[in-house]
Amino acid sequence: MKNFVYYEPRTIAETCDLLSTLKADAKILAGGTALLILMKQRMLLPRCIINIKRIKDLDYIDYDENSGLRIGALATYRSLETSKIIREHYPVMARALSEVGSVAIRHMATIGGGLCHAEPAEDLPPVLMALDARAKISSSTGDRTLSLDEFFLDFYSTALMPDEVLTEVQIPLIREKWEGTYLKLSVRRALDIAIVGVAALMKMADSSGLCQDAKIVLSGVGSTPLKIREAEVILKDKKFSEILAAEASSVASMSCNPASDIRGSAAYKKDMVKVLTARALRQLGTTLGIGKHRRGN
Amino acid sequence: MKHQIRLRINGANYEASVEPRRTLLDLLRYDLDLVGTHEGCGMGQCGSCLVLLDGKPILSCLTLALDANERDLLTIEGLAQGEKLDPIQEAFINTGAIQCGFCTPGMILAAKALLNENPKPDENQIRDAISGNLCRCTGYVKIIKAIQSASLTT
Repeated sequence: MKNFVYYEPRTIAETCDLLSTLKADAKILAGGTALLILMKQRMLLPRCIINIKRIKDLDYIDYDENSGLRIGALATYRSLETSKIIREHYPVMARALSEVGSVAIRHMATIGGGLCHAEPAEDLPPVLMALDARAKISSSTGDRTLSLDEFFLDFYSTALMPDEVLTEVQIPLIREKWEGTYLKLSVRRALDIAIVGVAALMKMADSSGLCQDAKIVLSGVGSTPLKIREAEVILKDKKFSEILAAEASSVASMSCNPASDIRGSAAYKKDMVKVLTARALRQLGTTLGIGKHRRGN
Repeated sequence: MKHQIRLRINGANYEASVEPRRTLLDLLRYDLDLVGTHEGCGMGQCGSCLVLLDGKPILSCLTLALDANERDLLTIEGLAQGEKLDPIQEAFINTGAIQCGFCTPGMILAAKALLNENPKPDENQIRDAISGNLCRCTGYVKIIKAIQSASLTT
């Protein structure tokens, strides 16, 4: 690694002060599982590193039954994966997190770091997008929050300005009965990012199988996690059925434009989007006890 | 510019003067002569550099030495109590789970972290716990058996 100037602020305010002076000369260091690799490969040569891990009030998982979830940017993937709150109220997050890297990597990687790194084939961001998560961003001039739609701009690019730091992730309460899942296609079961990943959510209006809202977000097929509205509207306000699930998965496949690369050809990835989306939706249907054609009816 | 750090490794106090770019792995191997922790890939993909930091398994190749300041570390050298081996080490030997030995320190510490958190893991949980540790020699079967065996004795 090329050498750098090292800062270790103890508060968010101190961090923002440093950033307003250093701006693009500095990179924030959280878990280091992405940044340090880039620095070792000399793809990034930051003049300064601001290590925020010693800031005490950035590691929390707070659930409020009226407003939802607030997660501090330094909450590690492992702490989220094993959190009783997450497993009870947002189990789809634990599902996605268990696909990431390895146990040791998950003890290091943070939710804030994962979002700011903005690798489009990561496992947590599509789930967070499906959950309508918002990113709270702080600077010395104040705070702002963005939806993840607004936050992710391109490969490894976010709306974060050079003098800003992501401090919190907010996930709204879902009042309807809902289920979500994340399916990942990868060569290995660990230490591998997705070839294609599908985060799917269904919110039910009632117990008759009427779907109030659906979310389908793909990873690995674009420059950011990709929300497929065209597939979501097929399920929205309709009674869920396997036929609709098949239709939505076809539309999801047609609506994305993945690149051919070392992980697979574009055609293969589009095929796999169809397979995984259908599988995810069928799984949700089974869990919710809806959509199955009953014999004799 | 060098920074002074103090840390506790295997119960003993250490002091070092390090450049910011020094990784924890390099600190252990080159500055402190604790060569049981290995470098396989240097990018978090093999697990041979795994150590326990404040009890949690982490990859020392992707950790700055400065990050270990005022923290508590367990490396493979710290498992045995003098001549008395840890049950996991005994199990690896008795089960025949070691061939070249390169992955072994990381594997054993990953197992240690697992058994500290979950003393009676099932096979899937063991596989999950060591999924970040690559072994080119054994095919993992004996390693899993060794961890199962160790979980029965602790």
